[in-house]
Amino acid sequence: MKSNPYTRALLQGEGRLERLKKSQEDYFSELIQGKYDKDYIEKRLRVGQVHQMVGLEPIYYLAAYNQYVQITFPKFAEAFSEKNQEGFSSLLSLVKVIFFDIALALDTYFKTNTFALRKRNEELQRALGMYLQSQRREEQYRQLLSHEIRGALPPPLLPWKCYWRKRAVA
Amino acid sequence: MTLADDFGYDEKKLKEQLDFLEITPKDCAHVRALADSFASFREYFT
Repeated sequence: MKSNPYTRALLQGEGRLERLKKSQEDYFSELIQGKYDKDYIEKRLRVGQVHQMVGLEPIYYLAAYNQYVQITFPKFAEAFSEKNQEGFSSLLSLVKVIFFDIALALDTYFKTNTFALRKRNEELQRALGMYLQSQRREEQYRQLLSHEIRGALPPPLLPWKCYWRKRAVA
Repeated sequence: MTLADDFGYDEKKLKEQLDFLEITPKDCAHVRALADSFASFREYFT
């Protein structure tokens, strides 16, 4: 993460890296507890929401996860070298759980973005409504003003009356 | 209201997701075995 300018920038700030390490430690402890209930989902969604809020794009999240897999899987394989089948089954199960977590994280990204878009759309709708309302009021005001001006003018000055008067004289 | 509620993750949806990824109690046990196998598991991630 430090080698990439984008992720390095996210780690700037006192204690941020240490906090990340601690949260990752907690995360992996929970991941391998084998208990995937509503509390677990709540924590995953909150983490996903934080990722989204700090501007961590999905590709960086996936790249970081891939790094973990690349680093840890050979170690798992090494540890299970004498129990091949058991180790292989465990890794396949871990992959399933990892995909479950990735699905939750992506869900957070999509839902949060959709929510933001919907909110922006509502704001635009409100602004459009206000604009149309002001247009209507302006039109009403223009009509009112026009009516008052016409009402205040002496009748001979009205163009159509002048026309008919001229015709009558002719 | 929790975030999980907000996102519609009730028991039914949770079960659906786990079923869809074919995560069974056996998988949970397998995953737990990984943790049990590594006394120093945490060091790999920190």
